[in-house]
Amino acid sequence: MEGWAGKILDIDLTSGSIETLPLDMEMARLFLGGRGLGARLLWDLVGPEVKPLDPENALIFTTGPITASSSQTSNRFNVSTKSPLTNTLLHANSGGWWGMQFKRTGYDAMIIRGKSETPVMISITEAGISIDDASDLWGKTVFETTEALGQDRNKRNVLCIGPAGENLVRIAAIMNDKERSLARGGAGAVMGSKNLKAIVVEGKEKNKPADKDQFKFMLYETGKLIKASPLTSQALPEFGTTVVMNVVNEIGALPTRNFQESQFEDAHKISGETITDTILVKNQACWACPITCTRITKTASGEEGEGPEFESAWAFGAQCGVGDLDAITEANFLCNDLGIDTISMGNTIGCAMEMAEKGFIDNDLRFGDATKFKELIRETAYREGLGDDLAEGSYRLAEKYGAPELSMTVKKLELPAYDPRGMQGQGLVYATSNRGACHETGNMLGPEVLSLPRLIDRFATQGKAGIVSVHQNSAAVIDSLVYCKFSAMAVAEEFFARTLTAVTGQLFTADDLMKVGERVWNLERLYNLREGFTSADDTLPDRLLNVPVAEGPSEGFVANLDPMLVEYYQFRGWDENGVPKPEKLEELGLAELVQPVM
Amino acid sequence: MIDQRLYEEFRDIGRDIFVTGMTSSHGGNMSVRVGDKIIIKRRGAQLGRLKRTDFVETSFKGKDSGIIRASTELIVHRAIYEKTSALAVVHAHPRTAIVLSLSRDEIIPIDNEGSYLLRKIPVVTVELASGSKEMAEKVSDALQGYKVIMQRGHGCFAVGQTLEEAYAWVSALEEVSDIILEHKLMGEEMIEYRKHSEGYKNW
Amino acid sequence: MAQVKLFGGLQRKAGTTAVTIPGSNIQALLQNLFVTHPELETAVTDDQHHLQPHVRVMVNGHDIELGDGLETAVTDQDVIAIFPPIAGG
Repeated sequence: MEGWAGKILDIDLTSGSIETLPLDMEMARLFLGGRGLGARLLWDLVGPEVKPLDPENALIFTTGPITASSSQTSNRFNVSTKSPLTNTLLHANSGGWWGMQFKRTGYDAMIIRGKSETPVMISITEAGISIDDASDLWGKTVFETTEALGQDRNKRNVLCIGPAGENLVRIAAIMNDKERSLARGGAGAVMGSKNLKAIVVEGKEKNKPADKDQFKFMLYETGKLIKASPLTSQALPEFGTTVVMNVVNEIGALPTRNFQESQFEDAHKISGETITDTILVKNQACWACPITCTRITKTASGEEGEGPEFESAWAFGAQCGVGDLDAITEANFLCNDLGIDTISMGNTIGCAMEMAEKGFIDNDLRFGDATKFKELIRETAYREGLGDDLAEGSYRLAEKYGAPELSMTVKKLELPAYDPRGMQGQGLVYATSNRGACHETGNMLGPEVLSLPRLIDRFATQGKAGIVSVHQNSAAVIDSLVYCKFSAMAVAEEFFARTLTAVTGQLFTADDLMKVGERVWNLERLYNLREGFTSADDTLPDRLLNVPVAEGPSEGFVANLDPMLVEYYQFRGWDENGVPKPEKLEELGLAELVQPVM
Repeated sequence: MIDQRLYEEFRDIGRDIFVTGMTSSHGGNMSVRVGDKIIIKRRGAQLGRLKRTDFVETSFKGKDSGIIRASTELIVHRAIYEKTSALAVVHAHPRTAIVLSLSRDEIIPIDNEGSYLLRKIPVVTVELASGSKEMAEKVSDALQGYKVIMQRGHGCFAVGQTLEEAYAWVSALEEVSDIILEHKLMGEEMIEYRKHSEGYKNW
Repeated sequence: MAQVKLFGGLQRKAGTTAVTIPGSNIQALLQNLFVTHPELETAVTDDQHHLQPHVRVMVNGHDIELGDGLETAVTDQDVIAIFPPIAGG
């Protein structure tokens, strides 16, 4: 294969049929792969009449044209489905080895529909493709399942759900290569609803570049820039993603105790510096990645595993008022083993802590108390006691007990680790993200804090919409190629375009890629509109819009969303209701899609 | 219409472009994209002495009251915003780069920093300069794959997410060009120190 | 004297997470910092005395790049934070 394998595996678990479909190459050119191809396939397959946990929902795994090419960070893959947490289109991506290995089986994507009557797993190996009984695996944890199925670094890779996915926990993740996750939005529950426990892949095919010389040159240049950037060659390897804990705290944008404050007094105890000084065993890399940001850590009680990343350390840390790094790390390990999204889990526990302190739920849970983490995570995975409510995510939990204003969510997805009152652009990112509150769809940490590519005033609102849109489009195309966003800290879209050109033999410019990103973003928007979402859903929790930060560098600020949103719709070529105008759809080649329905 | 922060950015960068000799007193122009509007330097305003009243707000397409007062090269800025993901555009007249553009179809840096940052700057030829349709088309096409490009015998256009980023490309281009010119004047053979540097020709 | 907090690799280089340093603006304060902690100089500034790429300096949580740069005034009550290149999220 040169970029695309040209084939999609189509599996129906209800009938047990396994088919191979040709990849529509025009679709591939317009949406590339990954998140873009996933959204495009989902548009056709899963309409508004389908509920997320119905057998009719599809779980679509996609790779991109550069996946498995050995270009730096070309290991990632994507899953697209309708989210049981948000009811929006969901895309989630993950690194490790599985994505590269799946691509090597000779497929660009895999559509899984229907529902098996009994627990099953899928094997894709040289021996063939089969749907096999997995009754003996049902109930096993992620680590147990991964080991039982013979995970073997870059030869045989396992993707599976844990008990949380089996029990339809709305914040359940799909895990791959033991501790990597397709975390957000509850894709694990969709997999569980299909009675699908695991997918094992072994592949031999190679993604060989069409233009070998140009590909080699791009490998060299990209490697040179990754080495030259202190971000990718020093900061990430030495301290991991959690190195940003202190800076986000320093500027007064680290949400603390369920976003009641924006600075955490114990931030330094849960920072990347402290992780490196205390629990770090070694760092590790995903396939074909020179950056090595993964942390392998070991707590005082001897538990060892991957993490915590910045978001997880924040979710169980500042969000819950907890400065105990060992407790946070072990909570992270347990989420990985049971298959739960750490951001949503920690955020939801923080919400429950505030509800308990304010008397909305009868529980002695309190901010700062980490002793209940493991119990609560287990109860969530198995839907026992309060865990049965936590399993529904923060929004449904808070609404059930009469305090929806305490839920820090957008479109029912839990907010990550940046307080938009101290980073105005990030608020716009959260409010407009197509999968609900998410930083990965257009993170403003770069421009608003780290000066990447240039520093802009984090409190300003004028001009933010454009920067947010460009970052969203860029993230969408990186997720479609599929690259890791950390490689984008050293190289820009022009590198991705030239590598893609070398791999596929088809010419792509940087702005062709940005156009793909814009197309993907608009298609996702159309999908959510078709589901009944409106501009009223492009909002933030009341606390962030109306309660000013009480002290610290962001004192007095609320999230000033309205003017940014007006500018955003204008920038995007959408009408005042946030609906893409016909001429915008025409420009992006999406007009034909919406003719019958809008 | 233009907030204090954005005004200061225009003013400071305008001054930098003028004092570093990359435009004459009334030459050069800059714009940013805000929502569905373009904010651009007023026609005739001095880049080195921008006042709050020196800006015009205009739409992306079509005619509006802003057009007449806007910089004559508005049409080029519009085309760039339409065809690329740029949020800011800087147009200047960096002298050495203009000199090189007279005899070259591309400027390929020979210094280390310039190679890292730019790798290659294409040169486009335009028959009718100063705000022609041809110029708008050729310049915006070239900017789809590059952050800064030269128009032969005229000047450069650079894009970025902010004015500062676009200005940084202009500044880097002129440094690259100065080094090429001085090396050429010195007349000694260059010792290639960059691995795979032949790849920059195809960049 | 203002409190100066050090982060990332600067903590290891200096062997501490915070120091108190005199100086009426950031430029003066950095010069004084490099007298007591010469090991920090090349990590924070280049040979032209500009900040190294990606180094962030904040006064009370506000980046000096949006203030008066190295001339940003400092009082004894201010808290200065110096970050080496960092990335993540």
